[in-house]
Amino acid sequence: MLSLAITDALLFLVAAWLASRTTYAVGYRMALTLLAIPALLGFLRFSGIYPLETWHPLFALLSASAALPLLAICVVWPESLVVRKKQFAIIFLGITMLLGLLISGLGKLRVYDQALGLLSMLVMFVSLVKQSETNRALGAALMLTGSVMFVLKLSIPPWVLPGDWLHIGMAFGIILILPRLQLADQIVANENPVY
Amino acid sequence: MNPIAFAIPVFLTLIFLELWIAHSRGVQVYRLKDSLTSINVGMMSEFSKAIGGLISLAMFTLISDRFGAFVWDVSNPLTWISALLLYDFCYYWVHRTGHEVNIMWASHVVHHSSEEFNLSTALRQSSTGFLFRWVFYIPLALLGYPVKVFVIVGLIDFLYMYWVHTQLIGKLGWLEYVLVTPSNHRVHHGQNDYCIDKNYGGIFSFWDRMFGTYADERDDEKTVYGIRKPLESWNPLWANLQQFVQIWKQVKSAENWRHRLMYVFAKPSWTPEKEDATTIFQANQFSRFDTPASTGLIRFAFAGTVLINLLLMSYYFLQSQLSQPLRITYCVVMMLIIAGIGWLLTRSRNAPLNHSAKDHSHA
Repeated sequence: MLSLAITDALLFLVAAWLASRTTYAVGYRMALTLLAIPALLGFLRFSGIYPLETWHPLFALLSASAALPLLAICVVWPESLVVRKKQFAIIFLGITMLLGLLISGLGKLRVYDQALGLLSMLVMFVSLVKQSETNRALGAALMLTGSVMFVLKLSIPPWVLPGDWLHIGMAFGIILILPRLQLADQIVANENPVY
Repeated sequence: MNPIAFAIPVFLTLIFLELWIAHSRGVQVYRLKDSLTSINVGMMSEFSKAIGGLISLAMFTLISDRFGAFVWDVSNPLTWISALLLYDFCYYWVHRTGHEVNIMWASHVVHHSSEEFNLSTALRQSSTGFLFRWVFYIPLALLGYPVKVFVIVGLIDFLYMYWVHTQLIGKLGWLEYVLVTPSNHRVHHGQNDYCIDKNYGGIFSFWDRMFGTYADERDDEKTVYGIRKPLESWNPLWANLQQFVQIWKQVKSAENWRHRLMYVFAKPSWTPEKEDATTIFQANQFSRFDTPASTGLIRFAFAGTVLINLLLMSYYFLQSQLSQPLRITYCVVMMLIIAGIGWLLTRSRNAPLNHSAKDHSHA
């Protein structure tokens, strides 16, 4: 369980750091924030510091059913209002989180959030490959691989838990998947965030 | 027993008290048709809650039982204080969303459709709110607050908001900084430019100050109450459906999916041509809605409203003895009767008014 705490901490730090960067569009930042929350809860749970047993799985499923689809929209339609405007990002997250809560949380149909999460990552991968964005496609592939290993409960090597692969894949995946900013873009974006 | 059953006589007594005080001061804050409509809208809302209101309690209980993180001691005052603060915070966002997201505005607009501002306006509540509102209180369930605490703080919030719907109480000094008061709530119900999308708080006004939506009442500008796209009906059923119908028409006629989604989720003032199509308010061009009605019709509507009030209260006392199908049937019939009274009052709206063409006195 210590390894899960460490990898969750890694994912939390990466997601929170990227979410705090104002140069990225609000859609990216909100999706990353929602990814950071279950990671923090996982760290608190697996380290034994403050285990909120009910919240970690809940926020993990909310993350899969809302944050990953939002991230996919950010990648596929970077100009959409959901990506650029806070109001629409919140509405999107609100509706998808509610559906996740009702279907996966209360309805216990876990296949919903797992399938939605995997589908979102697959869509990101395919879209980025089509755009010839190799590095970013590699990020999506890392996220997808980690998630598949988690869903299939694969421990390769045996001392690395499936959850570790999920956390590591996500952490490195989101670093790579974010759009690269040119220096000039960054100067403009600091004044008027677009990405 | 629903505590609203006991609150109704108090609400009505306070309405008569406000009417009497206003009369003794020589100011007119009530119009009979408007007030009857407000009361009827309120009763329709109560009947709709009797059918669908359990949804929010059921969802709250389910989420709290399954995902509630903490155990709260109901004998500890801090439990109640924190729950009230958090409830009011959630209310702020329910309310703000109710104004800034079109589909939510469709539900909330009914509360603002009165062109008067008095205690009866407080009763003019939506019949469709129960469909959306519970979602905003999920944080309380996730924190594990017992459903009893949720219901009671919700009731406190609801009852508090009653008294702030009056024109007879002026500014209340330092309280304006902390609490929602009649003065800052008058701003919320105004349609003057400075009033739009302001003062969403339920009990505490500091949420508005925190999130930049607070506005003080202006002494140099008379507040005109109501909405920019007037309801122009006394029918409670139409008051609840009008904006939904409008959205449906807009979605049907929209050119593309982006516009369809915008009509549903953007601000009510959004148009394809303009992000915010709010126009500058011309107070001198505003005229309050009215219709001609015979004395007999007014008496009939008044008697009908009194009778339905009695039937609503008797429903609260008897509901535990009624089967579910009977409850639903009772509520639906009552709602139809209420709609019927509103329809009768409105149906002659194209006929010339016999007392004045259009009342401009308010502006």
